[in-house]
Amino acid sequence: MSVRTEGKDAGSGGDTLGRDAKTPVLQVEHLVKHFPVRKGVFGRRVGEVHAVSDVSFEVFKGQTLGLVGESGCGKSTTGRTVMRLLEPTSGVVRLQGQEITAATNPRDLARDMAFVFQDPFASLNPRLTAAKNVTEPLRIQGAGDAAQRRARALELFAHVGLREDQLDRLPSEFSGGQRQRIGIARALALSPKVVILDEPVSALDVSVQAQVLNLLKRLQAETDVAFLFISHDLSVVRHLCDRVAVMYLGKIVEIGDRAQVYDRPLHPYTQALLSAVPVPVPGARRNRIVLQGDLPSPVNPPKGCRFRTRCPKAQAICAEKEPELASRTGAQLVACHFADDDRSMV
Amino acid sequence: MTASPATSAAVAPRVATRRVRYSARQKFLRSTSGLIGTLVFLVLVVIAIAAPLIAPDSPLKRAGDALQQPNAHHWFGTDELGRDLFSRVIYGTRLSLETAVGAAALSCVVGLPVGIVTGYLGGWVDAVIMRVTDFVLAVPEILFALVVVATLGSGVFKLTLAIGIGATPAFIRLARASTLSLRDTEYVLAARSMGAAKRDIMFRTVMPNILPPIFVQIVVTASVAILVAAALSFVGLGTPPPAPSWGGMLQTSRSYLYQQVWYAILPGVALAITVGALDAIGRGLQQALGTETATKASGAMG
Amino acid sequence: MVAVAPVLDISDLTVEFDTPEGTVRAVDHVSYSVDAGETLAVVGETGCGKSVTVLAALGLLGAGRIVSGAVTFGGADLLDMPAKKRRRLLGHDLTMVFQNPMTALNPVMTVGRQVAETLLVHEPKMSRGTARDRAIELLAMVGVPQPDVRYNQYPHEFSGGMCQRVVIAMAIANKPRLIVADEPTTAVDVTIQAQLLDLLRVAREETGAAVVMITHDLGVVAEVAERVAVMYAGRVVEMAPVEQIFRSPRHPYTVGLLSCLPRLDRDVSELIPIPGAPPDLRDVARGCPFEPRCEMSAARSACQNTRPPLMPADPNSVSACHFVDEVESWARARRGNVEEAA
Repeated sequence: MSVRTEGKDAGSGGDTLGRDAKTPVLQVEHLVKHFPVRKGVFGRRVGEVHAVSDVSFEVFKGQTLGLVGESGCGKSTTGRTVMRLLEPTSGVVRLQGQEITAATNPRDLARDMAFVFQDPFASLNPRLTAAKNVTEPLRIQGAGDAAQRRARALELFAHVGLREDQLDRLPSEFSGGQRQRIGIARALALSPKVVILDEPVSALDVSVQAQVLNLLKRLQAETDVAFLFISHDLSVVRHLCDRVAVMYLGKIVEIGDRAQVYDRPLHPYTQALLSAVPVPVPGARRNRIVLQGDLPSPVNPPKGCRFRTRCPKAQAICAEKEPELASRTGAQLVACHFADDDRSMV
Repeated sequence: MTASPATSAAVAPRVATRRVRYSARQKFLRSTSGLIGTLVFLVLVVIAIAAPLIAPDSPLKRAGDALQQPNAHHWFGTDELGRDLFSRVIYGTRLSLETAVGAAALSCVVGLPVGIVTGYLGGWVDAVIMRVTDFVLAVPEILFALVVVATLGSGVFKLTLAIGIGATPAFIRLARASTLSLRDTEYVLAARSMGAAKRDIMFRTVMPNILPPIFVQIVVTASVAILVAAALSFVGLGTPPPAPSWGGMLQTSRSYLYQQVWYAILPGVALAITVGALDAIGRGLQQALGTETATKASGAMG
Repeated sequence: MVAVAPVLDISDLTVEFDTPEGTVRAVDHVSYSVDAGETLAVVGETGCGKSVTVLAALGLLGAGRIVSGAVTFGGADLLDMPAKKRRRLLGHDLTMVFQNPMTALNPVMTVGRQVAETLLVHEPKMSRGTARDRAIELLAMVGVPQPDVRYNQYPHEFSGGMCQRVVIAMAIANKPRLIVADEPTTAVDVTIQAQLLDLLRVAREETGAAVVMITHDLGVVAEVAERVAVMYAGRVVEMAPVEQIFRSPRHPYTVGLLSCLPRLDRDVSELIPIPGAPPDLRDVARGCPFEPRCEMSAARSACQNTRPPLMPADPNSVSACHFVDEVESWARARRGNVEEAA
């Protein structure tokens, strides 16, 4: 079964203006992913890790949705489940309106959606030359002969700022930043509609990180590809993303346009998160909201609101009723009973 | 203010160390043990192939009086049937290497794919195959070969088969363990994200990347095969006479130790050199592959 | 300016490693010092030698070799000191907080006992009971909840952030004169990082210790440091008070680092990256190590052929750039160009 719509570039009716925010290329609805917790010699199932619990979002054509949160919030699992590297427990993922199911041929899926991994030292096949790594997607699709694939590799290399004489080198001969360029080139090899990027710049030094971020911006402007950008770095997300979803313990607690979320965060967790990031301005003492305690176990997430155990605003109702992700005072969606009480930091 | 400006930082321009990165092949060739082992082994291969040209006499036919001491015609003397000892040892190289290569090839060709498949797929297939290999591994190689030869009968081919089967579980385990360690690496995940079929991932992505330890295992297996073959011949279960096997020669020589000391020494030395060379190669490989596993692939692009 | 001897004074330190590919100079004539009650941040990218410098200075280097230089701690020569005497200083007067707290703690000993042991090693006359009480006090001080219960737990029962608190408790247990924190918050999440940075600040105020904070994060630098040393390719390229580093950097590398940071507090139209990648230390340029990536240099021969020494750039700062006077105007023009283009 193919998830491809007719004509690769006719997705939005030949819209040449590009940024058509009305076209969700990727829709994720009520996505759930649980991992069994096994114990003992016989692998008895003693519980479940609620890694992703009822997550819904859309990614629009030519735009970037940032998925942010701290470690263990389920952002990476979400990305991998959307890409079908993990089988979802339940929920629906639609790519260009077509539902992806267990019956979907992974090869068809790979034509429209690609993945960029975090570790530039581990995500390339060390035995293949850069050119062959970049054109693996074409080989798997059976597209083109060797000469055509090489031509495409050259094209992609130019696209991501690598030189022709580097085509036949092995990954080990490249620096981290260059390897990440190769990883990005590989993701773009089939001109996909959506690219999921899982912490693509986290392993890079800042000077190189900026190069890759600029590259991603340029590539998006040129190809109108949609990005799902998974990151723990709030500054990077602010720089790159059009919309932002904040995750906590397997759930999206706030989602909205970048300006809304960063300038007027409504969820207490978003507020705390933003206030915790050190800013490179000496003496910029801000009203820091210091969260108490640690992340609760995702095996037994708190009843009601999952954030309530660390929330400075928690009330009795938070333990009883789980807040819905809904529009409250601002334009963004927030999952908090007291989101109206705007105490955003300045 | 405690900032202490370093004044001596402007040092004489030092020669920048040239950036060099050695490929595994270069490293292997730079390791003395690997190099010597390879050279010796190559000489042995030449001897095995060119045995008819090198050996002065036939290994099977009588060439003079029995149990002669070394002389101009027979450099190391003759055996109890008057055959030229030197010629027999030369031809014995052929037998030994045939068994070694045969057994190593068989166990690798069977063990490698089975190990990769069980490692990658997991589940009940994995469980069953691993129990079987555990069982075979629990039996010492020599005992296993002994049982097989005792049931099937002796002969070079059967001997090779027996040793090869006995060595297969080690390959399965190694390939499986290596595959397991790669299964969740990002580049295998990347191959999955590109929609690659399982077979494609197993044999195009995983296999080339687990070859380094497999190479070492091949060399080790060859070395063990030679020893096991010699041992079986020594107890009379290996290559049947009159084939010139080193183990068989060692066995017979025991009766004539006092008349013809070279009878025992010559095959013993040949055995030691061969096994020593293989071990040296194994060590060299391990050194070279331990640190840098990526060998430079040939630049030729299809 | 009061003539108080610095707590730690590293001068002209050079460290080399022998590798199969040749000798690597990981630290190249590095000098810095830190006073009591002061925090010096040493900032730089991967492989710039920021950690190696301090490890070598404290005699904690495994493989490398100190080629030259002197290190004094409270006036005493650390490098010439007998190993036994130096070990007695470590963990007492001079403590470290590493990136990974899990590896800094002994997994088979209760957390509380590890803190108590730290106290007992340096004050053998202290009674067990006193050590225990004092350890619980310390755990409470670093914000471990229910310290008397947690005292009897093992490291694996603690989260990463909680473990780092314990490590900090051990670091301040004996009122050290110097705390070296090597990327102490890199392995933890941002909300935990905020807690730990606050804690480190309190710890410094409580003990009056000097702090060397090694980090790659300029946000952390701005938050905790009084002075900053910027390292590149094994050398200090600029050292200045923190406000000055951020307001008017005097080295092209510092300028580059600041302008390629995405910002949380405001929109940046475009990041200006530094071209290229940090050099392989086996192959550092002959002249200025930064020259191959320096847009200000424009391949001038001084930059290509002569190592610029670290020289005073103004009364408060030092910079290793031949053309330090041009940095400010160049930085302004560079920013202007990009904004115009955007």
